[in-house]
Amino acid sequence: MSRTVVGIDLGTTNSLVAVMIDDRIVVIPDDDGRPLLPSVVAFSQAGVQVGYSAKARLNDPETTVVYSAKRLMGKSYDDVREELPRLSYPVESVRDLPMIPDRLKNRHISPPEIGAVVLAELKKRAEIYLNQPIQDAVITVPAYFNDAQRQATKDAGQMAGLNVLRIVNEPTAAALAYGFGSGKDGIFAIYDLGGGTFDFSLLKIQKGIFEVLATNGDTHLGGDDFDQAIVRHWQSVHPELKNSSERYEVRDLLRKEAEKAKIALSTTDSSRVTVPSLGLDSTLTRDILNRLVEPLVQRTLVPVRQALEDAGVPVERVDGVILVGGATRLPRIKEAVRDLFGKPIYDSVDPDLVVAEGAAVQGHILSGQRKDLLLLDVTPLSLGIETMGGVTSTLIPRNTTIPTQAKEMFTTFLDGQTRVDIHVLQGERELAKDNRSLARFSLTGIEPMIAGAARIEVTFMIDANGILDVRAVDQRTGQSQGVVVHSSYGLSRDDVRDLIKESFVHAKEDFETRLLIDARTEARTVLNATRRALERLDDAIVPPEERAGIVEQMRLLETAMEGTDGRKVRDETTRLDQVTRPLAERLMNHSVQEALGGKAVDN
Amino acid sequence: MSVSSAHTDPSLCWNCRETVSDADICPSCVKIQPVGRKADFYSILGLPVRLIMEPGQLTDRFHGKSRIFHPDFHQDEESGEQLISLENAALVNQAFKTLKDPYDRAAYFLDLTGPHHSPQGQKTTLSPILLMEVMELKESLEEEAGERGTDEALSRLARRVAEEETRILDLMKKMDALLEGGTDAGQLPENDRSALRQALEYRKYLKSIERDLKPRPGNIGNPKH
Ligand SMILES: Nc1ncnc2c1ncn2[C@@H]1O[C@H](COP(=O)(O)OP(=O)(O)OP(=O)(O)O)[C@@H](O)[C@H]1O
Ligand SMILES: [Mg+2]
Repeated sequence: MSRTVVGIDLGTTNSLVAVMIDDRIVVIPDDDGRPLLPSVVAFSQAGVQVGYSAKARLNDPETTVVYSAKRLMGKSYDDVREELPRLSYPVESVRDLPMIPDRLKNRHISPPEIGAVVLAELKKRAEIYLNQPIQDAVITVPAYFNDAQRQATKDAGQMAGLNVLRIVNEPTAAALAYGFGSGKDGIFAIYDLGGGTFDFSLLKIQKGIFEVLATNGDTHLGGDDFDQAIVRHWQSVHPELKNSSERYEVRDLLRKEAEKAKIALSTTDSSRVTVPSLGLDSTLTRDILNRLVEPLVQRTLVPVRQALEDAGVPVERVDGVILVGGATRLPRIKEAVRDLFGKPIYDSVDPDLVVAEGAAVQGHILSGQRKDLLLLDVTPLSLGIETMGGVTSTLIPRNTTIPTQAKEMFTTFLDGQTRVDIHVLQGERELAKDNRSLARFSLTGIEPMIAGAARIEVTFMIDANGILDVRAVDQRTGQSQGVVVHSSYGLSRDDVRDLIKESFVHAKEDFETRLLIDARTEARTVLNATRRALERLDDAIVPPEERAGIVEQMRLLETAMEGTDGRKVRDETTRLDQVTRPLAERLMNHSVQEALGGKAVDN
Repeated sequence: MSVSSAHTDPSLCWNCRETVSDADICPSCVKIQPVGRKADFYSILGLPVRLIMEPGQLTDRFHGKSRIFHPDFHQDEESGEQLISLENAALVNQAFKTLKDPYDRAAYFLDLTGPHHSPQGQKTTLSPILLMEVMELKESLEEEAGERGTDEALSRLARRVAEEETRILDLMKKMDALLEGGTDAGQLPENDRSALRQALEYRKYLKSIERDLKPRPGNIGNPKH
């Protein structure tokens, strides 16, 4: 029995879901056959809308239309302050987090909740298409996303009722989609320029193992910036536009016209733009566009060079470059990439779909149905702690293969001190204040003793999702030590739990409860099957010892089922499965022999 | 480096209590076993304790162990086994990272086989003579870079680094030959050990001069916004 794991690309502008069916990647379309779902959510008297219908209400004053929420994920209000003027919906600071006021319900909506609405829609789409409930998912994020942004994405998945098996980096997912696993060994670069983020990864592929050598990027660089460059150009040529573009609608309109012109220029040499209401009538040529975007193109090459240097890979050793993201359709980008690498460019898979397709492949691996491929990714940013004098001490350098861990010993420096605070940071800068604060951990309940006597070993573990977990052990007692987390950005674990409970995405469904219900159902099935088998089989097939072992495990499972911990029930079910496996195999062989009637098989 | 199983017998399977000795997978119940019970990064990857290593072999071991332990392949197991998978994969990654770079590997080897083995490594200080030498080199390179640009200074430095690396590799080969001849790693001549230590430390200084001299590819790192 294998489960179905879908792959989801939760994009800044568009999202989509894909799945492997019979070793084929299928992008799941909506009822109208469209693969993409605009990452747009609208709140109005009429309720919550998502996708094209939400996008259609962009100019409706009665509706709050939220787009590009990915830019706000896992950020503090201060982080995003500068971007807010670009958005046409209000964002307010609530406990230093950027939140969207829902005027109708007198509440605030967090960016992960917006993501959850989009994810829930894709989940529903997959369930209808596959005609089965879907829980397990792989969700992609830009490789350069930090811990908080990854956690926020995972939270969004959970709020949407998904069991997020893995957060995968978008560029690596793209490489998986190209099916390079089979035979095509070498070093490949992935250049991913989306709407709002730029990612670059270097990947070594060897016999099905995809090993990321280095990654780098810029979470504030993408096609949107090209549009802004065009708008600024118009404003400089037509100074009168400057005044009118103080207004939201005008700015929005200009931005849209700029994007249209940009896209047109990917296939034509010049494009005329007329907006009579603004008195704009201008012709944009590909040459002008190239000149306008050149500084941005050059900016993408900075992370590219840094990644090459970090990996210790000279540019000549790269065997090919995979292009991902809508903005790589720009001819100037292709040219710049070709000039730098002088190697084959891979752009045959639709850049809009390739990330979700790769996520579906990773989902297939995680479902246990595919063992030949393995992705070994890295952490994009160095992880450190603040030490004396506000200096960052690095524990895990960037581009370390994940999962990874670092251990550090902590002690007290005052007599009788019962608590030690640890400030965890992510980034490459010397001073703590210049890096991104991830969380403050407090080791609490330390037994009072003289200064320096306590020995608490703290393990910083970055899992395969690139998400940090901190554990502490008192070295003198071997007992685990209390750790209290104050996350700097994003929601606390309690917030997430509360939001899942009251979430409008699935109001009546509580994740833990559902996990428990599902686990109990499965446990019941396994128990019944086992019980029936034991009744039928005699000691010759099941020796008493083995029978006792199975009965004992059945008892443990039944006890677990009386409790409310769904995970425990699942674990005990797995164990029962395991203790009965030898028996199942023997029965299988037995019946095969019977079926063959002892005769030799013809060759 | 020991994983959660500190107070249980590491030669027995954590799950079925059968003998596993140093196997990655229990021969009777087929559960993966915590590699944290092993003594060092070499044994985690199943490699002999040597200074010189063939990169292809190391990569093969790394990939092989990853295929056994990586969490991707243990999604359906119970949470205890998932934790072992996670910790094992982290240790395998760490082992590969440490042994991949010949100079990191040499430093690790010295810590591991030294008389006062400490997992944190020993603090080495460059001898005053070498320290003086390296400081003078730094000054002259900076002067040169200031007058004629960094290119020439960098290539002069690169030659010095290459010389030092040859010296290091020669020492590593020499010590490996002794190991092949049956000498115990702990019994290697102390003057070889300290020569290697000094050379590694010297190279580290040279590399840090190189880092300071090199023009940066741009503002790396993650400015806050
Ligand atoms: N033909 C084209 N020429 C130039 N740019 C294009 C073209 N088609 C789409 N784009 C640009 O691609 C960008 C969107 O890319 P994409 O859909 O890959 O982003 P996303 O996945 O939503 O964002 P991200 O990956 O940053 O989260 C937009 O800026 C869009 O204007
Ligand atoms: Mg994208």
